[in-house]
Amino acid sequence: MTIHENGHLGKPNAEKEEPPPLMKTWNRIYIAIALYTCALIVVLYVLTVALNR
Amino acid sequence: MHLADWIVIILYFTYVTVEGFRYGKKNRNIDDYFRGKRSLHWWAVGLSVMATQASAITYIGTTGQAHDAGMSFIQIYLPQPIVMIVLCMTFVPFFYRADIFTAYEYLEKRFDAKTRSLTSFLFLLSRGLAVSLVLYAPSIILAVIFGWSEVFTVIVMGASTILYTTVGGNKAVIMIDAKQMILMFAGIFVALFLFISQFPSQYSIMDAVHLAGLEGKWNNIDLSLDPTKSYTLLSGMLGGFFLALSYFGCDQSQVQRYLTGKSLTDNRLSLVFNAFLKVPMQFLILAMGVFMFVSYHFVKPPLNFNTDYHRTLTEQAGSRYAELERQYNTAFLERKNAALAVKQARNNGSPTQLQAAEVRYLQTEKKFLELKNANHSLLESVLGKKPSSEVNYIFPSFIVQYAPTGILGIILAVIFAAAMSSFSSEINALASATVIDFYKRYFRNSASEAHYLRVSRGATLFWGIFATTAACFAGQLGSVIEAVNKVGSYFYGPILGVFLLAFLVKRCSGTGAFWGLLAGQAAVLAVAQYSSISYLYYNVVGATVVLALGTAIGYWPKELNTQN
Repeated sequence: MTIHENGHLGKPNAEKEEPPPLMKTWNRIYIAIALYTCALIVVLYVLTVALNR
Repeated sequence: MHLADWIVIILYFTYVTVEGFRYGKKNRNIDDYFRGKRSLHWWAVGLSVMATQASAITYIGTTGQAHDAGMSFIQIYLPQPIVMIVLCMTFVPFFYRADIFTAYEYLEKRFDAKTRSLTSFLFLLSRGLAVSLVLYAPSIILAVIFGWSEVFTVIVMGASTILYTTVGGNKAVIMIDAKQMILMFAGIFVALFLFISQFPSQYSIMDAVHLAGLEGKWNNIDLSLDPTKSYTLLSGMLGGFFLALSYFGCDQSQVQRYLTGKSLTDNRLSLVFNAFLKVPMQFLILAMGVFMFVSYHFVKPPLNFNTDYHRTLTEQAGSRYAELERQYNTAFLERKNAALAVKQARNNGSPTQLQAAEVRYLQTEKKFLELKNANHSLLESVLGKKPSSEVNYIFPSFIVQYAPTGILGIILAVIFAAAMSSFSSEINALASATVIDFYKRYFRNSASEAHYLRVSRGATLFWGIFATTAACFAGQLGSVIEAVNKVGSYFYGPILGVFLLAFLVKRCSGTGAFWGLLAGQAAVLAVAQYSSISYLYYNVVGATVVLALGTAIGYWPKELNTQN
């Protein structure tokens, strides 16, 4: 995803971005965050069902 | 309060003030002052983002809310990690490459000056009206609990923050925020330890978890689809998503944090840091409230946490109130014994005995709550109006009664840190929008850096004094403050809509953005006035209307559109 000069989003371009210090690509970090969020929701739901009477 | 507590508090205020002057010496221009010359590391920016969001009322009120209503508030925070992904992919790289000072500055590049000015004005209006509450809200609680003057507390917090923010600028704000956030994290664990230390010997954390579960406090996830319910997974993920995206993406008090990172990578990492830490932090703060609820089974909670109400009832309903307190004391002892019996039954391992003990406990809890309701009714009849919620007084009431010397000072320093970290970020942001979007844009667009630095410090001082003064008088404004708080929450959705138009709708011009923004604002006000849906959905309504109308205008015939 790239941002055009007048500010709107467009197709990806070839400009290379600095990679993150972990996991090599930013997309992998985003996927990790998304999976982490799903895991949080599942864990919280399990706690709700298990601990509430 | 003992000498050790005062020493802790004085050391805290001295430290933040000295730090402000230390960073202030290096400011030469507004790039230093508002963006720290883009030199900050991701961890400092990340902690500052977190500290800016977590005010004293987050710390005090959320704990009290969990004590009363359980963990359901956590659902509002669940979409924040996803919001961080969206920001890292869109807002952050664009703002970084656009080399801007305010989020609204770029709206002129994308649309036109009137859209920029309107959006920035709405930010100044909403944030300017709400910023005083950051100081006022904790001051009234501390006044009631400790007997301090509200004005004195407001002035102490306000003056110290104004000093280090005006002198030090954004870099000082961020670095001090980072340390204040570390103190807040420490405070969470100190408070948890304090609550658990009030349990009887042999009463374990799992016993406490079980007891809280009997009262339904572990209501982390509610799958209801009812739109009028405030805190459900649906309202959290949908409404909370739009609220968080608008707050972190379009509110200058947050955007200004991640304009200061030394690289795009640092800016992104600061938000990734928040993505992983925010929900667990909020979980712990809410869990504090639940464990405080259990502690109050073994140390007696006051019938009225608000000592002003206790005084009023003692003076104006003496005999009725005394009888209510006598019954309340008895009910507390019965509930305490029933809670211990549940623990005993768990240890014995007999399901039948456990069930009987749980039923008995719930009966005593029901009796206890009936007496609380009777107190509420008595108070209403004496006051002649509905009493305000006591949820913000529960946590301070506990710490003033049960925190040992020194620990009380630490927790008070944490409360001050939470208030001041939010206040500093907000007045710095208000100053940047004032100077960059209005003063420099319309009144003096070419002057020396020394001039702009002086004006920026002056603007910070102005907003700080304005907010502190408003906070001193806020008590006399009563329901106006409530109205201001609600009005502030109406702006987020439409402002987000403008930024989404800017990013996503190529054909949208300044005309579409401008009229879309006004229509979105009107739609939110109409929904708030005429419907009963949860306030979390206002952001969805506002953003959607702006997007829809802005897009529609973008596809109208050319002659109806004007480009800048």
